[in-house]
Order: sequence, then structure tokens, then C-alpha cells
Amino acid sequence: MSDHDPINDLSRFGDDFSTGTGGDMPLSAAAVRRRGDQIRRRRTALVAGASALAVAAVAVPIFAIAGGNPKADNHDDIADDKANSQSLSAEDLLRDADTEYSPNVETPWRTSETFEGDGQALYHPCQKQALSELGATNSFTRTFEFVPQLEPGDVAPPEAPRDRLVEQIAEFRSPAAARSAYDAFAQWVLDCEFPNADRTNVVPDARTVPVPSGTEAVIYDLNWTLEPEAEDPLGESGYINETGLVVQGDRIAVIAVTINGMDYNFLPEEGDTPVYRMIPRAAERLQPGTDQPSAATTTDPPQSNSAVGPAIADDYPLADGWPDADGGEVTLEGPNRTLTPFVLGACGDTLDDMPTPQDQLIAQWSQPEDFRSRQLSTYRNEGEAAAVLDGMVEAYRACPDEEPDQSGFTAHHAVRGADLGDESWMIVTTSTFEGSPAVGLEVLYVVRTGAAVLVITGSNEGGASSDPEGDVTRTAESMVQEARTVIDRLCVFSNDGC
Amino acid sequence: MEANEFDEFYAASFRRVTGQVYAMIGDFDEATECVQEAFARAWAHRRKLDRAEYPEAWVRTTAYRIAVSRWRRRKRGERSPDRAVGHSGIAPAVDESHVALVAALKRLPEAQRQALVLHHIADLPVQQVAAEVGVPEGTIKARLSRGRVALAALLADETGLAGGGMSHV
Repeated sequence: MSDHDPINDLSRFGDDFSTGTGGDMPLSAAAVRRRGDQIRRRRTALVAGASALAVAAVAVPIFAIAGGNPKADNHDDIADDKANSQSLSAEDLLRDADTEYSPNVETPWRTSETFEGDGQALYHPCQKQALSELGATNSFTRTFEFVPQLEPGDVAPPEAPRDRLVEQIAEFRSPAAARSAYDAFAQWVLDCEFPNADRTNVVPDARTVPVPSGTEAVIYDLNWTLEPEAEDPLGESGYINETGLVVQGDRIAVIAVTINGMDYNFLPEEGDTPVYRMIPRAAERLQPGTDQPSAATTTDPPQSNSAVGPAIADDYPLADGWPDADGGEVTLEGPNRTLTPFVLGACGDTLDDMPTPQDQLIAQWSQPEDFRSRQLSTYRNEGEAAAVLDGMVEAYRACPDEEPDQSGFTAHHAVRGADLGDESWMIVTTSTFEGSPAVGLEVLYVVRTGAAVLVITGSNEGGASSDPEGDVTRTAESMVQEARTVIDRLCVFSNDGC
Repeated sequence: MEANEFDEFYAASFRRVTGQVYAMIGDFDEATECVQEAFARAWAHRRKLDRAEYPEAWVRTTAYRIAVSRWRRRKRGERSPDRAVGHSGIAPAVDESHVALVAALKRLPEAQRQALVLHHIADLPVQQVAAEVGVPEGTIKARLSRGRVALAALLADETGLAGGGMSHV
């Protein structure tokens, strides 16, 4: 028998790590909290985080999307491949090299199967009908498996047969039929109840993805847990799925990643999720053959930022009043016309039917625990601007309570009157967890003067203190005080001038 | 949990939990990163953590699950997206006397290794180990007994400890 006493060895090991000899803490507690705030903000941010979370579907040249992507060079062959793909074919599916998992890292996805038609099963957990039953005249499916890269000496990890990527593409008789199928698939996801799951959670607000002109794309996030809640109260052992839907003319694509585990945590500021990164490729692949404008010749200008009608002066003081950006962690962007427009709305209403602004200027200021932004939009006339304001307010007024998100947090919106410009409102968003106030406060001011609408956002860690109403008051007063010059200058858009 | 309370919790628990996760997965750098990530999630979920009877157990369990998930899918040495707060140039500072122990632990079945770590390194009573692992107390006692015998034999035969990687299976 051994001379070693394993109990003593184990105890000494534990003692050494308890007394601090086990290595330095690589990060400060503040840095860890900032990381936690990023994770929480991703979950709870609605308006204030819109520029990072949900990118408006602004039409941009397709190569502008590919620009800066480290894998873009690997996809220069797409246009060439398309020459051989007039009708929908397997060539229109993603290949291994198109797939994504960790940013800037070789993809672990490897093609498992590729086949034409409906196949023997439904390939999405929420899918209720085969693509042909949705009206598809032709379809193709490719499944990918996750292949970990092992090094000599590594022990093979546990199998995870449910970790997979699936892309389905389909062609329909008309764009209207494709749109109908796209909408039907979205509804299946929203209504999803995973078979045998103890609970299934679907985030009702889809994330939008920037795609070429003529294409629309959204992503739905969902998860399900097979273990009863009593055994896994936080749902940490569940399955995570993100499903991307693309519609382009008479074609659609459905791209779904399903992962079992806790490490599917791709933040927007770190490159965003795998499906988010794959959708532009899938949209490019989905384009019909050479009789269509090629990606290289697509030169549609951005639609929503074109400056006609009541133009905003380039030197409009939109960023005035914010603290100086000379602190190490403060970031100021804008004012400019290239920042992503806000995505406003509540309970799934994203105000897509609003008139397009004639001109728009955006600025944003952020530090790890504080995000502020301003968006100034002008419209054809005062009536149109007033209608936009009404639409914004009504969307929140009609939705005092969002559905709980996948982590169990519920956002609540309250609309209050304000006394700024020609007319204004303050929208306060707080959240609760199991009925108790949760950390995170967002205040949104919408102000109209003449034909201009100014939106001011602010978010911070308030909302769950001993004085939540005081948090709201202090945040709102601070926002107005900071933005006083910006608000006063709105007079240039009124009929009477300043 | 307020920021100052979290900071104290982090300072008091980080090294201890890192040691425990290191003993469970056999990779010090990976343990460090997973524990960091678990603490970040603890802060993100701090209202849940306020209700947790044993916050440190929550962090430990979360870190271990993160490690298992990451191991299943990630090539060793690659930077992953959820390592946004990843360390840079830290010295593992692992005592050489622990290397053989960790190498031996890596060769044990996961269930035995987990029981030994939680009971003898985390110093949890058998009842709490059983609750954390989710099995009856008798099962934990059996795993501890078998694990101690196997570990003693492995420590006595250090020539058999070369090679091997993480062994979550």
C-alpha cells in the first residue's frame, strides 16, 4: 500500500488555495462586475442597448457587410459559385468554411448530411410542417455536427449529439409565398414548446440583422430545459437555440444552432452570435444566379439616412452636455449619420410602419455601467413628426408589461407626461424578477418640436434600490439637464424658428 | 448584494474556488477563467445569488459547468468569446507539490474526483456534498471510500501519471 495519505494531500491542497498561495487573482472585482453588467445588459437592455443588440435592417452594399470580417477572403468564391446556381440547389447552402462559432477561430462545424426535399424528419425543434407543406417548390437541407479539435493526450469530451447546426433553404412560387412561409416559421418559433421539455422559453423580440437590400433577416433566441425546475432551478443545464430566418425574393433560409450547456454567451460587442455572423453569408449564398445583380455591383445607398427635406446641420450640438470623454472607460461616438438607428417599441411592436426620417443624426456616450444616446430625426412636416411621436408613445402605453425573458426577468413600461419642446413624453422601463424589483433602469424621453423628433435614452443600475422612484427622478432630471442645449435648439425645426 | 459585498465575496472566495475547480478539471488556467466567468455571472444574477443559501457553491457549480461545456466544444488554448475578461500573462503559481495530486485526480472517474474535491478540499460535510451533486449520502460515502483507495494507489505510483488531459467523462 502507498505511503501517501491522500486525505492529508487533499487537505493541504485546499488549505494552500484558501490561504492565497494558489495564484494571483488575474482580474479585479470591478472588472468582473463590469463583465457581469455586460451579461445582464444583454439580457435586459431594451432601448438603451438597441444600437448594440438589435441592428436596424438598413440596406447596405453587401461587401460593406463582409468588410472587416477576417473570413471574408474565404468567401470570395461565393459569386463564382453562384454562376452555376440559377435555380435553387445545394450550392446555395452554407459550406463548412462559411460557418461560424467563436469569432476569429476555425469553425468546428463539419457537414454531416446534405439532401434535397423534405427528408425524413423536421429539422427544427419548433417546426410543425415540412417545407413542401408550406408551399416550397424545392428545398435543401444541410446538417452540421460540432467536432471539437483535440490535441495529443486530450481525453475525448462527452458526446453532445444535440449540439448541431442546421440550414434549410427553400424556393417558392412567388415572393408572397416565401414571405408567408417566413412568417409561418417565425410564428412556430414564437409558439415553440420543445417536446419533453420541462419548460421552453422564447424571447419574443427578434433580433434584426443587417443584410443586403431586398433581404430581411431576424434571429429568435430560445431555450428549453429537460430537467424539472426543482432539480435545475436556474435552467443552467438546458439547451440554447438561436434561429435565423432569411427571406429574399421567392426564397427563404432557416439557420439554427442548438447547444447544450452554459457557454453560449456571445456578446454583441465581442462579435455577436454565430447565427448573426452566418446570416450575411447565407443571404449571399441564397441569391439567385448570374441573371441577378451580383453582390459586387450592389450599390444601393443607405435608405434611412438620406438627407433630403428638413436637413439637420452637421454641427447640430447633439452630444452637448455629456461628461467629457477623457476618462479611460468613456466612449463617445457621433454625432453622425452612420450609427445604427434606435429600435424602439414594446411587446414585439418595433414600429416598422413609421414614416422614414428625412434626416437623422445619432450620438452615443457610454461607460461600462452607463449608456446614454440621442437620436434626432426630421420628417416631411409637423403632422408626420407628431404621428411618429404618437406611435412611439402608444407602443409603450399599450404594453405595460413585457413577457418574462428567458432568464425570468419581466420588463415594465410606464408612460408619463413631460414638459419639453412642443410635446414630449417620458417612458420609464424597469424590470422585476419573480415579482421583486430587479437592477436596471431605463429612461426614454421623446420630444417633438416642429417637424423634428428627439429621442434621448439613459440607463443605469437603478430600479432596485430602497428608493426606485428617486432613481427615476434623478435619472430623468440629469438627462434633461444634460440635454438642455440640444432641446432648446430644436426650435430651428419649428415653423416659427428660434 | 451590493458592489462592496460582491467585492468582498470575490476576494474571499476566488482563490479557494479556483483551487477546487482546478482539482476537478486539472487545468489551472482554464479553472481560473471559468471561475472568473462564474463570478461575472454571479454579479449579473446577484438578486438570485442573494437568495442562494451557499453563494460560493453556486459559483463553484457554475464554474464547473462552464468548464465542462467549454471543454466539450473548444479546442484547447483557443480564446473563446466568453473569455472577454480573460487574464493576460498570469503565472499559474501552482505549488509543485500539488501537480502530482492533480495528475492523480485526473485519472479518477469524475464522480469520485468530484466527491473527493468537495469533501476534502472544499471541506463540505457529506450531506452537503450529496446535496450539491444531487445523489444520496450513501453514494457519496461509497465514492469517497473508493476514491481514497484509488488515489492512494495512484500517488504511490507516480510513474503512471504521465500524460492525460482533462477528463470530465
